[in-house]
Amino acid sequence: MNETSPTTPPTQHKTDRYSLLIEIGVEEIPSNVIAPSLEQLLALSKKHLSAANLSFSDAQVYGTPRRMILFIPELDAMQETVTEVIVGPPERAAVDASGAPTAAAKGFAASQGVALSDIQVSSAESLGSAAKGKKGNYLVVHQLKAGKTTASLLTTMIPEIFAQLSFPRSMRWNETGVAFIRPIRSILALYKNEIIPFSFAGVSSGNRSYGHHITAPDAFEVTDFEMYKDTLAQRFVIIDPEERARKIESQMQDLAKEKNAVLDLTDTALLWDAAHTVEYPKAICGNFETPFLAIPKEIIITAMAEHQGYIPLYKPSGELLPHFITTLNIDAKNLSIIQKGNERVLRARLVDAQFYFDEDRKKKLSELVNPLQRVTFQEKLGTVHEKVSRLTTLAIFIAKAIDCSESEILEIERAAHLCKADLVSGVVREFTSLQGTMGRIYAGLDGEGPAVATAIEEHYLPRFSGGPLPTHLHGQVLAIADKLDTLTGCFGVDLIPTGSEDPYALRRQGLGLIQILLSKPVFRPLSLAAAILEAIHQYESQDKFSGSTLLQPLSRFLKQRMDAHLQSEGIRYDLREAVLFGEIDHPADLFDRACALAEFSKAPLFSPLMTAFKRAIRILPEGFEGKVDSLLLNDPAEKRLYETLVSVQKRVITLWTDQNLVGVLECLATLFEPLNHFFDAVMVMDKNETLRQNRLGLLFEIQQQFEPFGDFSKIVDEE
Amino acid sequence: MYPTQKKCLTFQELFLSLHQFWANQGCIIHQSYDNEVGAGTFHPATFLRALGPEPWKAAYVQASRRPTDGRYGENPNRLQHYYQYQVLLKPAPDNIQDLYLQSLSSFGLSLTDHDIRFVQDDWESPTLGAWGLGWEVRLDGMEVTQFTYFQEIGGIALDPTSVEITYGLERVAMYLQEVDNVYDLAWTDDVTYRDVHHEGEVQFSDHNFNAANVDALKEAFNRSEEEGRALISKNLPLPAYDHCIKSSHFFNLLDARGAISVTERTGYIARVRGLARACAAGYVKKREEAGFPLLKK
Repeated sequence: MNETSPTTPPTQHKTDRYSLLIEIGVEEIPSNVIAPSLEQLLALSKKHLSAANLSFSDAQVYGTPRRMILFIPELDAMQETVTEVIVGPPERAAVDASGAPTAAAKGFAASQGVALSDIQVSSAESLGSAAKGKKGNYLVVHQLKAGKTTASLLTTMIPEIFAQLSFPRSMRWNETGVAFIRPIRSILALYKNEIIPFSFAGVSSGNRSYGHHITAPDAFEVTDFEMYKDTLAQRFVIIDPEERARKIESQMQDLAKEKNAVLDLTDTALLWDAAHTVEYPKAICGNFETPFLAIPKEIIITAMAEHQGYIPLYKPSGELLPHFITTLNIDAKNLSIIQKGNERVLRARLVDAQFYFDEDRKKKLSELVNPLQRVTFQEKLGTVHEKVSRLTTLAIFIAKAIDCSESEILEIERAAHLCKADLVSGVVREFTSLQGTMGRIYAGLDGEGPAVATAIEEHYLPRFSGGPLPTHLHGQVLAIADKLDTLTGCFGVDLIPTGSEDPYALRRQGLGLIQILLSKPVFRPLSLAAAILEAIHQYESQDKFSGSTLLQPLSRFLKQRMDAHLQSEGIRYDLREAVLFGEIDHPADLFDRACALAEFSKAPLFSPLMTAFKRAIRILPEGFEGKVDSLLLNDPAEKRLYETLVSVQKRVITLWTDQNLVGVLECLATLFEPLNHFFDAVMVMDKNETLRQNRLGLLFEIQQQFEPFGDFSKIVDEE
Repeated sequence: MYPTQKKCLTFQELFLSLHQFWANQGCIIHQSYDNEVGAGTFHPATFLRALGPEPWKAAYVQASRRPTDGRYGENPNRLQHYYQYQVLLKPAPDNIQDLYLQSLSSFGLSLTDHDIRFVQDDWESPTLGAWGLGWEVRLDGMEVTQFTYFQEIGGIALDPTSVEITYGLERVAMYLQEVDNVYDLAWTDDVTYRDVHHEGEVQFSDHNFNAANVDALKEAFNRSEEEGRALISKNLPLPAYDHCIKSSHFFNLLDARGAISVTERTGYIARVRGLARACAAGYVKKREEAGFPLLKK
């Protein structure tokens, strides 16, 4: 067997470059899948082309709900020609005693289709990988290997790229069994403006594309990208999502201007979602009857946004206007028909909303508390009514622990009593996302104080991971109580999250709890352990379960959430491990220590200090405790270390009191130099038992200085 | 208003147009199933016929019941008894989206005058152990059709794939007749939807929410499930499936009566699903034993 290896080509002129255009025609792709699919198409195409040694420039992707498009203006027409070095038999086997070529040499030449004169001799070393592990001289032939044409490579490469696209949920639709996001109905594939012939999912590639599905469904032949793009634009398809988004925005702004209104486009997802649901955007403005404005605007906005995706318009003063904007996929001759249709849909929803709101207002929010007895919180944990009773006591416990005033405590108690009542309101049963919000609104209408009303809405925060936190004291206390109650209850009946399973969103609630505790200094005095014990006690007094063993797993779980929070703050894992070593009773203290450590870890002294510190504790026998006796110190190095320690001990007390944590670390760092010197000059494990114990005692006292900060042995020194 | 329409289409003209259109596409025009079902999908002409390799094309109106949607005849949009127009095509034709759009034209809708959208809708029926991907079709913002490529039914992966098109007949008619209250729909030129169904909505709402006997329903559920299981073991999947449908309806009634807690729900649904799976498997086995007769047509 001959071995081959491509080497860099000698003098090769650059190959010509042509454009590549691919369009996959698909039935409507879900709007949230379009952008990620286009990214994949781009990445996979680049990967495959590079793997085939084809160079290209400026690869672009475009897409609509009905097509995914790849365009590469310049792509090599051929793989480059490479010279392959073919290694034959060793020289000693190729020439006989008389110096004539042997049968082996002749055979090699014949097998390579060259004359004997074309054969060269090279040393194995000079051949590199082609003659790996060989020694001596070998016969070699240099063969020029022509690259394949891009056109031929693409016939297999493009379907491979299609097959590698992956989607959140794929489907099958025909006998090929190919899985894709939705059925593929056409494939346009042109290189050099000629068809790349292949078939995928039973669809043959061609040079045809189609316009807008409703207004220009006929096929047309594509000659090049510019023509393709322009023809589609004439046929009511704008292929660039960004262009569509810009167009929608400017149309919306124009419509708003006509109504002297303003739009809230801070959530750009609205715009992108609209852009990803149409091929040819046309924003229109619809109206609803003014009397509906008597319904709280939160309900109207939700009725418009949920399901229909209608965008509200406001007066410059912020009041809601009786108009909405929606984006169509067609610029019809008579838009008023479509406008009326959309208005009818919204009217039906608003009539429903009005009905539920009016029904709800026949009672006070406080009258909806008792019906919570019929709402299950969790099978084993009883009703929501029972939850309300537990979390009221817990909220008061927390309020007292952080020194709330009598009147604040009363308000918190009231808010806790009412906070779940809206769950049985008609509006919340219809629009579940309004839970808490309706409670706030109804409480306000009932004349409850603003602090109570706000707390009802805020106690659900954060509603999603990374979402806004409650900002008012009452809402914060209630949110803490609610989350602690849920966590404790779920742990009590073994509903502990495992792997990706977390049906009660306990991780989010735990993280939210930690974030709220960290958000205001007022929560510093609260002992998390005491609050957990109180939550357990509440469940025990309702005979739900016995919680004597729950504190530890709950603390561990919250510690993991703390770890997640520290990680999101960019704190290194070993520093997190160091501060998380102890109890998590006061999360804010722990957080401060982590931040101080993270800051100090950038100081040049940090790493050497850690090395020295770890050296010190490694010497300490397991469980060693002892004191240093200054009278027994004899070596100048240990005396100096001792003096530094004494001075550190004095200074850190003030620094801890002042909460100057970086100061504490800087102070501890002054131990580094004397500690190093100590190790260089002194034998800790001295033969003399007394001296040995005394030196270990000295190191133990040093370790004691570090301990309140965390377990420094977890820190990885990178030097 | 609608230049392409001479006058408003009556409710019955709407489903007659659809019958004619889908008959022209080679569908057999089936009839409503004679058991209470929650949707056209429960009809054996969809649930069972979608299984196995045999081709099948059917269209029919299915009277459907959703007991919890009863509103005593007072809500202009919600009904506990309503009509679905159901089309099942196996295998799914390549031009199915176009066929669907043509079906809209068949009752006089001018496609270029409206905003017709295919909005993502991943369909799943935990009761039937079935799922599929597709869209809800919106006409000027209103959901008028469910369009689903079935992927699995009764826990069995489908090959070939079927497509199910379900028109909400009242919705479409309300749109075409420009009425905001379902009871104002003209069934014919002289008779309204109110004349036909209002009293039923009032009485059945009362039945579903108040009068239905919970203990009797629980017993009926258990007996249907038992009977269905027994029939499966006697290799009679078709009658067994009737009991599956019945148990599902009893469950819906119990749900409307508020007799089922959140946690019990899952258990009930799992029991219906178990029966549905057994029926599906039994049906495919029977067809296989018969040599899949429709393959030869």
